[in-house]
Amino acid sequence: MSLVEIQHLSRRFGSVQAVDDVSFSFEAGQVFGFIGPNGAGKTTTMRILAGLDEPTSGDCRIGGLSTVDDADTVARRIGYMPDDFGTYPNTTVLEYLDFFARAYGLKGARRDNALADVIDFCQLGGLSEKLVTTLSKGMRQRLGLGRTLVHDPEVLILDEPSAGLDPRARVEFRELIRLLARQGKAVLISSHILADLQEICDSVAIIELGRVVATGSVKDIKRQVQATVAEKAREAGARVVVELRLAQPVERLRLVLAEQAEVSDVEIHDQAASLQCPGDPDAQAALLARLIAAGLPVCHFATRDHNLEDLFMHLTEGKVQ
Amino acid sequence: MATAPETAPAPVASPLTPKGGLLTRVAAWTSERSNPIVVRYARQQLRSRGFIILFSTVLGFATLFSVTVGANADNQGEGTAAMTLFGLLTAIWAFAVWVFEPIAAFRATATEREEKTWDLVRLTGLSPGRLVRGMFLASVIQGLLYGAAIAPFLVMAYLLRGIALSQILFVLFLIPVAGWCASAGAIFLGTVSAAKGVRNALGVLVAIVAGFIWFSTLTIWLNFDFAGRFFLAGLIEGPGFVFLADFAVIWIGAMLVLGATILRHPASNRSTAPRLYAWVVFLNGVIWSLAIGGDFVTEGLVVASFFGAIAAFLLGIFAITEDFTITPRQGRELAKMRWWQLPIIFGPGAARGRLAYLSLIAAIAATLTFAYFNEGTLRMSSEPLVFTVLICAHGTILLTLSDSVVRLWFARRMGTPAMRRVFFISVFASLGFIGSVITSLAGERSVLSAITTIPGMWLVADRPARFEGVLAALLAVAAVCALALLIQALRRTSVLQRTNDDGGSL
Repeated sequence: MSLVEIQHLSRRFGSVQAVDDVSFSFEAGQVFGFIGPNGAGKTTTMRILAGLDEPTSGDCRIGGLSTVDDADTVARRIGYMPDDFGTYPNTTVLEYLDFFARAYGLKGARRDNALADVIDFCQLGGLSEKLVTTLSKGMRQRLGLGRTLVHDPEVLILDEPSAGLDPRARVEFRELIRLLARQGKAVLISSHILADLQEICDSVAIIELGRVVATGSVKDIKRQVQATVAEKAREAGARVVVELRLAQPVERLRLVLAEQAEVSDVEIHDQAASLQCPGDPDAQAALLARLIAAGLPVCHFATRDHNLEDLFMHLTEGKVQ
Repeated sequence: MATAPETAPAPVASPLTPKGGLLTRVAAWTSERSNPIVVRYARQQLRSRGFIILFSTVLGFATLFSVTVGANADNQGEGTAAMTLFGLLTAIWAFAVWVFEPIAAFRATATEREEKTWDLVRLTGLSPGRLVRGMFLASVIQGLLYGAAIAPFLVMAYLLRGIALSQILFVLFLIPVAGWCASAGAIFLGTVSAAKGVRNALGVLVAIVAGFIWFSTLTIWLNFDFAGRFFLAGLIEGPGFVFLADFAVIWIGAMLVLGATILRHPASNRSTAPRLYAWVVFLNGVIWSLAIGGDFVTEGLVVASFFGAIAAFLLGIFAITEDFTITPRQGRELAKMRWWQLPIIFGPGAARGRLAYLSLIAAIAATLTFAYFNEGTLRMSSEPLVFTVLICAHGTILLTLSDSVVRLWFARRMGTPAMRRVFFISVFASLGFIGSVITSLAGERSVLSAITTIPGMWLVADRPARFEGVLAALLAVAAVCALALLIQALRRTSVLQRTNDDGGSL
């Protein structure tokens, strides 16, 4: 049994099916990415998992306990960071965290230690006396993460935590999440910045129109997608992008590629090139044979590897409800 | 908690944990056991610009008044000077706790919803009840701070002589208690809506009402000598203090219960607390009557029944218009209720709502019957008794008919409890208006006038002997409606819906 299990979750708002039979699971120490266009049902799923909303049907379980039936018990095991969270005026960073620590029932030295740990982990030390309303976006997100961690939850639910952050803040935030997973926390994270997720996620679920269209490790999904792409290419005569690399630079590379009738859209960078050719593997094998016969020292010839963004674009149609 | 491996910190005491002498340790001990909302809100408010400016202003004006009045004491005479100073000090204190405090409490509560912080607070397990109680207590603390600032000047006014200790005690009671009532009302209004437009409108309403009440009492404070002798004396000498205190407690309780109810998740049980509170309002009056009624127990019970009938009417609006089906979350909460919590009456859903309404009406009817037959006759006029009976009868008829109409014919357009309430209130208001028109056209003596809402109730209560037949007919129709409600309740109590479409979210 996984630490976090979403089982056939559905949520309907009037005539809109926001979440439709969504299921996935992940373990402690894993970072699970939740990817989908706006309005796909990510936030609704996360809110139900956090116990803030009720499903129309299905269930979410954390350590075997239902977030629907045992919401109060499970709430203490969850840290939820919404995409847009409020702060209080006239409140310092330390007072903000102290309030949530008190609200979670932490008392005395236990609360002091928890605050010290959180401030240290989120590198908020120099800001503890600053008013929360004066923080930059990056620092606010760190504060939000600190609030999420203050009661030391087992499961973190982070909804678009890196939205609006500059590249440096994003990298730093990514590092923090990786560190939390290493410490044994199960992290569910959604983001529009798919490059971020690719870096840190062990598994992902891609959701569109409330339905999960793919789930598994990034590698597994890539394999599935590439197999599908190759199959489709063979059937429909479609073209694919191939990446080519030579053992050493050869000046004739452009000339040789230009002589190949089925090759187009050639881009050459030193001893590497990308080109479009038929998706049919037999045609690709024939092309490779001709290039070698032409004297090119080919050391790499493969269809381009899909990144998470390619997979997302391939699997979703951009429909919103 | 997670720690960065390269910088694992040794446990460090938070700077928020005070160290020091006995007083500091007592403060720390108290803070440790306090509602977190109180701690946070008190910190926020004490740092807010508004509080600092007002606190300084109160101190500044108090000093200015004291110096000015003290300097003129010889000309005015010490007694008059004391009264003048006391009145002025009371007026500025009243401004702080009657106007500024409620507005601040309203803003804090409304902002909690608007700024999306309530989701985060709710996740911690902090209940809506603790939130509103925390807001209220923080407001009380702030009010006491203003009191502490003004207290030395009040002592000075007393030392000038010419003012009775009882008058000082009365003011020391009235100003903060009225301020707490205003703050509780403002906190309730702050929970009403998360929509910015509604919030702004309610904010303006709070400011206007609070300002108006303060302004309209200025005459009392600025003529304290006169008011003290003619207006306040009665309250001071009689049981006025006790009744005011009781009324304040009931009012504050009602506002906090309703506020917490609104903040609860729409799919959860929002019915039990208000239903219980309606009973509390009624029983509070009954207990007072029996405990200190003396020779006026019967009259006290009629008054208790009157307030109970108003509470039952309001309860009916919300309980009867609920959905018959309940959400899974309500079902789980219902299952957790113990037998002594009377889930059949106080549990969620329109069926149980009907039973809650009918049970309270039945208790009121029993009390009125006892009052009517106790000692053979009432010393007081029978008007309040008849009027209370009419509230129950009209309420039952209107609630039953409007609810049936809206569920039968407008179910598609007005399918939610909120829309059913709007429909009922529209019907009630229209009948009240139509009643006034009929009364003015048909004349007060006509039977038609007597059956209309509000004017008719006044008319029948005023002349019960003249309209005996109308009264009997109204009671008969009300009994039939009550029976209909009872049948509906018994037939549909067990319905439980397993899905919660539009169950809503926070």
